[in-house]
Amino acid sequence: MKPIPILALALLLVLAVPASASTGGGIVGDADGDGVLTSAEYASATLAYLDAAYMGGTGVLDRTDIQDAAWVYTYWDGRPLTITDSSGKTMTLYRPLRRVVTFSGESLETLRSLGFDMEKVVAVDKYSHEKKTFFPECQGKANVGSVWSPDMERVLSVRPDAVFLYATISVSACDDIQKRLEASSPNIRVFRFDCFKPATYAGEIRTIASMIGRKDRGEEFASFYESTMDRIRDGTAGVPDGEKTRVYFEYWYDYTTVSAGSGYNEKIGLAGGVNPFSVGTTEYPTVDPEAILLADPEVVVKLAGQGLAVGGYAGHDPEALGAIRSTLIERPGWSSISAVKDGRVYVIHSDILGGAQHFIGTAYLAKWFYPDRFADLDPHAIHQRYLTEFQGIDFDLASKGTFVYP
Amino acid sequence: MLSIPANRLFCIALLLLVVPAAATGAPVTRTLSTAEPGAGEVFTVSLSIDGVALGAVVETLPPGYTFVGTDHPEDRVLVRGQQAGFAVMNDTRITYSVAAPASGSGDITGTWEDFLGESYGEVAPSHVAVDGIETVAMSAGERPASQEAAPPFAVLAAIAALLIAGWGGRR
Amino acid sequence: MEQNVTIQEGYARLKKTRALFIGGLLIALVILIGVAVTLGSADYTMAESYIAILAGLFPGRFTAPEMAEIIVWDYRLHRVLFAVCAGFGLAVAGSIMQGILRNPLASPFTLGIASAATTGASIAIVLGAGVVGGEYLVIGNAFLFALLAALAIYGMARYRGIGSETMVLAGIAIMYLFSAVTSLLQYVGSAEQLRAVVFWTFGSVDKSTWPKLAIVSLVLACTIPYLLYRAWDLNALAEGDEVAASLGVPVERSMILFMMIASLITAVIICFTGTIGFIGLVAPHITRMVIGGDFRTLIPASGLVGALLLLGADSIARSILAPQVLPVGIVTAFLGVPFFIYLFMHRRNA
Repeated sequence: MKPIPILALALLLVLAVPASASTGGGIVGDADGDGVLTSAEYASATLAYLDAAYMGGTGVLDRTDIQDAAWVYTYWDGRPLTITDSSGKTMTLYRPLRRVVTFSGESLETLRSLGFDMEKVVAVDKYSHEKKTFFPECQGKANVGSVWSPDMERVLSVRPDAVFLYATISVSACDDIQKRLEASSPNIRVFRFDCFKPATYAGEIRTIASMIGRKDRGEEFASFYESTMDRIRDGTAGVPDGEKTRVYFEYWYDYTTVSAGSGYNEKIGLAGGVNPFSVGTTEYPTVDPEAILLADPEVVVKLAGQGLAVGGYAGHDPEALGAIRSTLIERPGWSSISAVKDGRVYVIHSDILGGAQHFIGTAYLAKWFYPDRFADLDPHAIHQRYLTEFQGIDFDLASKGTFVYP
Repeated sequence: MLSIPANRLFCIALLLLVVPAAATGAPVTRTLSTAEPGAGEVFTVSLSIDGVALGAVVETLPPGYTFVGTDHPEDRVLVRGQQAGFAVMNDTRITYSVAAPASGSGDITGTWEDFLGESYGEVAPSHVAVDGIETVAMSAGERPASQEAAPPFAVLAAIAALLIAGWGGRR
Repeated sequence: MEQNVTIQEGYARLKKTRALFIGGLLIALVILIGVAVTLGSADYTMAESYIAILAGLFPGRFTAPEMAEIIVWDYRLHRVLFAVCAGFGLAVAGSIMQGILRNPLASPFTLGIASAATTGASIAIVLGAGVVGGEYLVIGNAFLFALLAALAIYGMARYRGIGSETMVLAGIAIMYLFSAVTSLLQYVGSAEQLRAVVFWTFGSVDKSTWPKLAIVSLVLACTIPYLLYRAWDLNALAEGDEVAASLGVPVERSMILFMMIASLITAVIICFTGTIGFIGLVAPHITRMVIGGDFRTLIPASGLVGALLLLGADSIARSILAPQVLPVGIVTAFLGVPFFIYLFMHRRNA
């Protein structure tokens, strides 16, 4: 038993060398190796390619190489692109992305918002695969599982040149996938992006946009995103702490709320609300029903979604959300809560409050918490514009999907 | 008196215009200053390029015909034997001159590549014959429209042109 | 006269059974390894998988389909071999435990080692604290805590007198202690961390790499020959303390030594894989039913049975929900069911 693993380890190193040789550091066609592809260098690279491809000449450039050179010349000004992903890792890119695998639906969605050619996404994670309404073009793509249960063989068999993973969640699982990929196939670039956190999303949009050569579109989308978030921030600025709207936010499960570590709590804060149960470290603490009555929230928000599967992109079901709302209101003692008396009980779907669309959900929260300050904010229109203009899917909110109630 | 050859000429010209359009939806089309040069005459070939920011065109001349020169920048042209490769960088027109032999006919063929668009295809062939005289062995197996399915309308127009030529000839 | 012949005949038959059994196991194992390397979600025929293996051993003489070499060598081969080694080790550790505790239902986890390793892993995952940093954080902690449990057993048993009963009681106490700590850590941790801890307890061969395989193989290569060398002493101990003592076996020292060796083998395996149950229990038990409890043959045979069981379970785990890979610990847990039902139906007063 002993000699075999060591022998195999040595052989593995031998195998790794040819694999890395094909990576090719440096821009294709950069003859003088100064890191800049000038128009003269590009022209002579083109001629060298034509010579090899059509005129029986000898040359190393094939069609993909010259296409890459043309791409880099156009979108990156002939220079390599250095980016820092959300895990803080800096890397230099010399070639465009041609075969992308996404383990995170949020990255996939962001790529689509930026107008990335979806044909170049060769495999998606299983959750995106299941979203037939939202990702119809991904149904035919390979399914690589999830970050906790990745199908590594499938990832390798689609021969990707880029893999997208999360940066700050499921870190150990993503680190493991990254390590295994980099060990066995050094020419696969691994990018860690979250694409769902308010603090980092705008920056990530711009970074990814530059990676895929869609800087203008990236700026447009980032501005769209930022204008909504800024509007929310500005609208809630200057509200003294004592006057902030008290919110009881209930998670998918009864009497479970959100607390400090949870993204939903962060969005409540961004929308200017205050969550009286956000003390303590447990992300989703269970609360004593009496405490809710005592806290007397001004607004109650109930989360629908995965654990409470109604509505969202998959179903147009306002009655179901209405039923959820009624159940809430009819809880014993709830008729005395301010929120119920003022009719400020809402249901919202996690599809627009978590993930890449969190700015839409947060806009709804802001409007519910401070209807006067946000009278002119129209989250519905923002949502529709996002779907039609940026995501490019044919989804009419008036007749499909249910995301908020009322 | 002129009516018969003129008609035939018109229909052949119609064919020549229709067939290339039928064979491609291509970004690159070729026109010749003359399809029937005299012996040793130098004629111009014009490539019209639509919507290719970065790409290439490779032209192949029939035997006997020689590449004379071009207005395209020198460092973007590669000539080897009967082939000339042009690097397209935001060009809409490339012109080059060809010297015809004493006699001979054939097709000028070409391939275009759009690097950013990641596509490539054939440029519809242009037939050329010295003094209009066809020399046999050439065009066997190189029927222009066989490479891509021509749209029905263009095929009908081509047939109509042939019929008109035939009818005009009979008159 | 007649009785002697019968006994001799019986013994010869037994020896033949053992030889056949072990031979059969070896053949079955080789065949199973051969099948297991062809399993996977990448679509290769059996021939292509073997060519990929040969291409890795003799580059240049064989060319494999693109990616096949990397997939087979980096993702399949070491996993299969690791399952073989892990199964072998757990089974051997289980047979040792069953011997020194004189309990055919003992397992490597009877003395609370699994609980301790889980606690070590939880501390690493939830608190981020450990002895070895970086990628070996969880592994180092799990190993350390497993050994700590073994030492604690030793300490407690020495205090009260070393014997199988005291060890089992100490083991139960250890198990409860560490389970409680793990539960507390799971409660305190975030949803993500909880998920990571639970995943660890399922037990899987997913994270195997060539270096880890080398470590486990090394430990096995060092301990198994020694155990075979001391097999007679194990036989004596299995008969009882007095019997062993009368045969000149240093009872207390031997029990502790064997317990520590079994713990070491178990620890080095489960620190990489998480807690894979039932192999250490089922494999020696099955083997004993076929060829008897003589440790000279029990150790290698139960090792082979364990290797077959774990590799078989892993192959099922990889195929049953393809392309998803089920943690192998879940499949082995289901293995326990038919086994116990069988025992239940065929209870013999042994």
